[in-house]
Amino acid sequence: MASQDKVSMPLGEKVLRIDNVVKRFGDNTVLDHVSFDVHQHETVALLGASGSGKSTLMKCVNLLEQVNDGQIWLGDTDITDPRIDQDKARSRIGVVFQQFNLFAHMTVLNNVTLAARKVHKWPREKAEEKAMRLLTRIGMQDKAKEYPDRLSGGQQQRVAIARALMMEPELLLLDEITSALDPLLVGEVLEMVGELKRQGATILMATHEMSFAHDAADRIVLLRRGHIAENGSPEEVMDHPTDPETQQFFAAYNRV
Amino acid sequence: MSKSPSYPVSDVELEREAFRKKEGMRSVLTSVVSTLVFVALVVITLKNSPGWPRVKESFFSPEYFVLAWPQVVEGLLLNIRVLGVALVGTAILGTSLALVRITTSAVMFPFRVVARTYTTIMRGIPMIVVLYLIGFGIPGLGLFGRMNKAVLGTAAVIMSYSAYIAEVLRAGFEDVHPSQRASARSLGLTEVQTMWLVIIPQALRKIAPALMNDFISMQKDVGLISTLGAVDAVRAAQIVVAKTYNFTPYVVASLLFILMSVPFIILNDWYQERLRKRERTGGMV
Repeated sequence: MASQDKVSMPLGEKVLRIDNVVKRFGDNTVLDHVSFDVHQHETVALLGASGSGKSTLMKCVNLLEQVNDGQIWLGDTDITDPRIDQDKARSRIGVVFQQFNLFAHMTVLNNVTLAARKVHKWPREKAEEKAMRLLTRIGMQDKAKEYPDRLSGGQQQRVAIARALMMEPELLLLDEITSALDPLLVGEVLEMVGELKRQGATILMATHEMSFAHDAADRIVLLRRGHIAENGSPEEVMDHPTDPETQQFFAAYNRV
Repeated sequence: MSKSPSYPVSDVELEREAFRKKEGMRSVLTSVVSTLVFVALVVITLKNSPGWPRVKESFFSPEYFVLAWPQVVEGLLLNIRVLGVALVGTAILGTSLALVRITTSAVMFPFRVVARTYTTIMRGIPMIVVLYLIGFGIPGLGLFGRMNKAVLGTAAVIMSYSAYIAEVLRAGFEDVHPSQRASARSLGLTEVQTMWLVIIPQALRKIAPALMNDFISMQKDVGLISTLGAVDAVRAAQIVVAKTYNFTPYVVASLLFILMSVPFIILNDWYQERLRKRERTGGMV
């Protein structure tokens, strides 16, 4: 856990501001006044045990779930405001899920260009040119005409990331993108995320890959039972935790 | 099973190949023999049944076959027209019902109830009763004057079949993984675009065999409009039967209905094969 090749970029504007967000399912309060920010060029890893509320928080940020209180700001837009154009807000955020990201009935190229063609009304040539550049960058240009089920899980996730990057989103949400992968394929996906970070992407990722979170994230946000238990640098939170419950949490992962 | 000569093959594999070949030959031989025995049994049973000459004369008479052919074919043209309209109508009504049923918004609540009640009732009523209700009930209201029987029959077929199709479609829509929908929405696609570009194409692929089956079933059920008095293939056959006291025209009609369905059965097989190939092997489109 010692590789310190982190390029410290100066913290830019706040891209995402989560402000006192509350989410309840019936009587069960899953998120209880959660607040934190993600700055430009920053990579924030959202950690927590199953049921801690990380997935729910990711869904709220992506507008797949409605918050019960509080606000989420994307730049200057309050995306929890029901009066805004939600589709437009969504297209400013790139999202990659755990699995079933790619559309099985479309080629890799059509998957990557879909949003550009249908949402942003780009002409096909322009969209394909840009998509091919992206695919070439991740070494997938030969697979452009393939259908997703001809690709390995790792390749599918890389294409999904490329698709999320296509419209140059202000924020990239990665929701446990390696959880459904063969351990041998996790590396290639994480490598790609590291590369994006070096290029200055703003990333919020929910993950169970502790060593990756430690090495790649600028900041760790640890959720516990709907509250923020820790919010600090990987060194503070993971290497020298003071809170006994936090110590237990990371100790449990280290034993695995 | 063709072996490439460039690879060296071990004796074990050669011996296995030889064994498989022998087994293959034997199973072909077995099926040929069993088919011959089966056909022979059927022929012998028919020939030996006491009533066979009369059945043969009343159902499979060449003269009446030739006599009925032109009239039944003409009637079939009506069935084909009805089928074409019913197909489009069912697709529209069935899809609408399915879409209404999968909505979740509060505004749509009454429509969901209506759609659900409709599919429940229509799937329960025998087709023939629907035909009577529409075919005799609507003109009975006296609102529209004299109405074409074929038009009413088509409406009844659409009403009945769209209930079945709606349920098949709904199952298909719900079978597409929720992540696909979430992915589409997070790319900024609208609700309608998500449905049209992502959910429906994948759902159709999964339910194509079921839909095709319903379509083939519809193909023969358009023959039921004859009960309203529309002169289609079945009715034309009936007219000849009434004149000649020979049932061969019904066989003519059946044969024509079968011929009509064969291309679609072949098309369905071909389509599914193509989808399988495209999605499994990817490739050079």
